[in-house]
This record gives sequence, structure tokens and C-alpha cells, in this order.
Amino acid sequence: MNNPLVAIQNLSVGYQTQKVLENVTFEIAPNDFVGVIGPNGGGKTTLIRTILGLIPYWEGSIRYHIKSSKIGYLPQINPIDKDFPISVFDVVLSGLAGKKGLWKKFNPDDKIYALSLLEQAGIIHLKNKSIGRLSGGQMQRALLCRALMNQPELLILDEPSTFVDNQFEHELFGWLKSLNQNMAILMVSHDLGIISSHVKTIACVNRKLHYHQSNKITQEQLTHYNCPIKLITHGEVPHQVLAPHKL
Amino acid sequence: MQAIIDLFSYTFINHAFMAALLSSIICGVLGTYIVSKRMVFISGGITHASFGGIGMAFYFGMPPFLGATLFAMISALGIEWISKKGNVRNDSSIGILWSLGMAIGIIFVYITPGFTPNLMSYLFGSILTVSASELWVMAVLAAFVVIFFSVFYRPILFFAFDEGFAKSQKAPVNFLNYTMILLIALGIVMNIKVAGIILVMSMLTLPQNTANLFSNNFKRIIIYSIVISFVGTMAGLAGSFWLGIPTGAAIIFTLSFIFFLAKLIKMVYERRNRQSNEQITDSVNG
Repeated sequence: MNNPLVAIQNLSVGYQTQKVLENVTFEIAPNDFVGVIGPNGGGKTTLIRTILGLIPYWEGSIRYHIKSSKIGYLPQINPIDKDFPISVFDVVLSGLAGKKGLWKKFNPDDKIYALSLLEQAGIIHLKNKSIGRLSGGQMQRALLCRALMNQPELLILDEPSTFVDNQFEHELFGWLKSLNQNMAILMVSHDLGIISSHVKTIACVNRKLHYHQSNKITQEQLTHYNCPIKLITHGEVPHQVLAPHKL
Repeated sequence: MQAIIDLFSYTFINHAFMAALLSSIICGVLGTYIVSKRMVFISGGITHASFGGIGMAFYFGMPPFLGATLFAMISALGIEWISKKGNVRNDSSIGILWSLGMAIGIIFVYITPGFTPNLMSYLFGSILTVSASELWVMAVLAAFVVIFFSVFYRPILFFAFDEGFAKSQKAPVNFLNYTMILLIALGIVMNIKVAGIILVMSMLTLPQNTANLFSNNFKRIIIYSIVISFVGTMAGLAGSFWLGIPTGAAIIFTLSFIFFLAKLIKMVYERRNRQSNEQITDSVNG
């Protein structure tokens, strides 16, 4: 068994006086592809922001067996300032913000790598556009390029499939699957359909965290863990089974 | 033409010209950062808080701009610290600082025995009375701001665009934020002499928003802002000369006029473009 990239133990996190996550114990193994599911307000985003060191935690510990400059991060695109005067190319380059700090210069190799990522994402023709001119799907691609800029060993994605059309969703998961051969991925999504068919393991976050070593979700698990979300089953034809209505 | 050349034989006109150039550079650079990062209200708070320092300096017999600098820097650091904590209503604290600074200033000016200083010149600026030593200080700050932005251009741009992401990469975001807010405080104080407390905000926002109409590139917005700011300031000065109105107000009026004119031109231009595009589509479809 390899060492986990990140080991979280008995973690509690909250804002002001309100506790959002309680007693979370969880490890991210190399090459795992974890789908983080759970109801809105259940603490999914809080969990990943805590792992990224953006929120201080109250209790417990997080141990990293990975350099912080080797964690790639794709935040939700809603808070991105669409009026900010910055080009798509510069946004991608900013993925090295931590590695370069204040003093280190960007060299030609960095720029070539940024262009190759834009090429892979199919948005190389948009490189000089300002970020706000992009559609939702194009912006997701640009932000994914930024997250990949530091050649991460752990890629953390917060709702990567919002504002994205079916065509790109398909491409995105194809891309993530090939990336997953070289890095662990932790992906938050409220869309269980997407998660279940692409990830290897599932973490259900609703104040507490429950980790499943498989990507199959059963009714009992959901009821037990109080995860009120849509249920997915596998079959010949992709289909969804909705959880029964409460009486 | 001769009349204009004659004007420059006056020292105060030369000084005003230099002051306009230097403050256009300082405000063009810092204002682009302020507008892009949506810090206009924060800058307004710092500007008005510095009036408290001016009032206290009068009372204690210190140079007013020393007081303004101290107050501006302390309030700048305070605002940055509060917004870093993030659990206080940020805009409310700025509003409190804004009005408290003004109140402290008025109180201390009022209880200062003897003469009453010309408050109008601090509120609305007096570009025609800028001294040589003040010009030197402005020149040093302008040079520093330009060099600082050239050296740290990418970190400044990247951290400002998405602070959360930069922090997730363990980039020195807080350090740069504190440095930037101190630089902004200094820039504001230096421009109080030119534009005054009430009007300095316009120097930091009007040229930048005008420039933003024509470019979405951070570097270009800076350069356009400097040009627009300088042209507007000189035109405003000329107007104030010939119409006999206060300089600060005339400058801001000119800058606003340029902004609305630019916006109008852009609207007409875009409408015409759209119409010609529609005609092309029509002829293709037809």
C-alpha cells in the first residue's frame, strides 16, 4: 500500500460558531479518483478548501505527503470576476503563481507548456481573449488548464461540469480519465450521474464524511448517511433511478 | 501659441504641468489595480480617513501631509487586516472609517487656536500651489510605482485576478496585498494636493474606466489611463484658467466629460457595427 497523498484525521471545520464538518477522517491515495457528493451546504466545498489550506481548521490534523505546489485546483467558476482585464493565456500561466512567487521569472518553457495545455483543451484560438468573453464551458477548460500548469500530483476540482454542454462534459471526463493515470483526482459534484460513472471511489459529505471504496451507490448507504440525492445504477443503457419520495 | 509659451514662463504653471504628469502616472498605474480589483470604495475610505490626519497635524503643529500619510497608512493596513479576516461586514467598516476620519479632521481643525487653514484646498486640491519639494516626492513615488509594477507585473495581475487560487498555491498573497495597499495609501496622499480629498477618487477611477472601454488588457489600460489622465488634467487646467473656476473641480469635470464622450462614441460605433453585420447576414441569407 502506497502512502496516502493527504491524510486527514478527526478533522472539524467551521465558520464563526457554526460547525460545518465534524470528525472527518479520510485519505487520498495516489491515483485514486474520488467523487465527493452530498447535499448543498453539506460541506463539500469547505472540505476541499480546508485541504487547500484556505480555511483554518478547528480540530484534528491534515498531513501532506505532497508539496503544496503539486496540488492543482479548479475552483467554482461563479466567483471569478468576469470583468477582470486578463487574457486566457495569462490565466493559464497564473497556475504557476505559487511556484514562481514574487521574484522568479516565467521562462519560454512555461509559456510553451501553457500553450500546449490550451491546445489539448481545444481553446488555443481563444488565448488572447479576455477571460470574461468566454462561455461557461470554455472558461472551465481555461481554469482546468490553469490547474494543470504546475503538473500536479493531486488535482482538486470543484463542480467542473457546471455551465458545460454534454459534448464538453464527455471530453472533460475522457481527459480526466487519462490524467488520472498520473495523478490523484478529488472531484466535487452535485451531479451523481456524472460521478458514479467516472470515479473510482466516493466520499459522501454531509457534516460527516463517509468513504466508499467503490463507485456504486446503494439506497441503504444513502438513507443511512442521510445523503438526499438522486440514485444511479449501472446497466446496458445509461439510466437513472430516482430515490423514492418521502411520504 | 505664443500665449501658451508665455504661460510656461511662470513657475507655478511649470509646477502644475509636472504635477499633472506625475499624478497621472501614479493614478494611472494604481487606479488600474484599484478598478480591476474593485477596491474603489476601499480607496475612498483611505482617502477620507486621511483627512483626520490633516486635522490632527494642524492641531499639533506638524506638516499636514505627514499626518495624512500616517492616517492613510494606518487605515489602509486596518482595512486590509479586516478584509483578510473576512468575517466582519467589510463595507460597513470602511464606511465607519470614512466618516470617522472626516469627523476627527473637522474637530481638530476647529479646536486649533489661531488661524483657520484653507480647508477648501485640501478638499478640492490646489494643483497651482504644488511646491518643488512636493514635486520631488511625487517623482520618487511615481518612479517607484512604475518600477514596482514592472518587476512584479505578473504576481500583481495573477494574485489580483483570483486571490483564492493564488493562496491555494501558497503564493505570498498577503505580503503583496499589504504592500499594494500601502502604495495606494501613499499614492492617495500625494494626489490630495493635486485633486483634493473629495476628487482624488475620480483620478483613480475615471481615466481607468474610460481606458477600459477600449481595452481589456491590464497593461494597456494603465498606459491609456496615464494619457487620458494627463490630457484631461491639462485641459481641465486650461478650462479653469479661462473660465476662472477652481482647478480640481474643472479637472474632474473634464475627466468625466471625456468618459461620457468615449462611452457615447463606443455605443454609436458598436450599434453601427451591429447594423452592418446584420446587413451582411441579411444579404447572405437573402
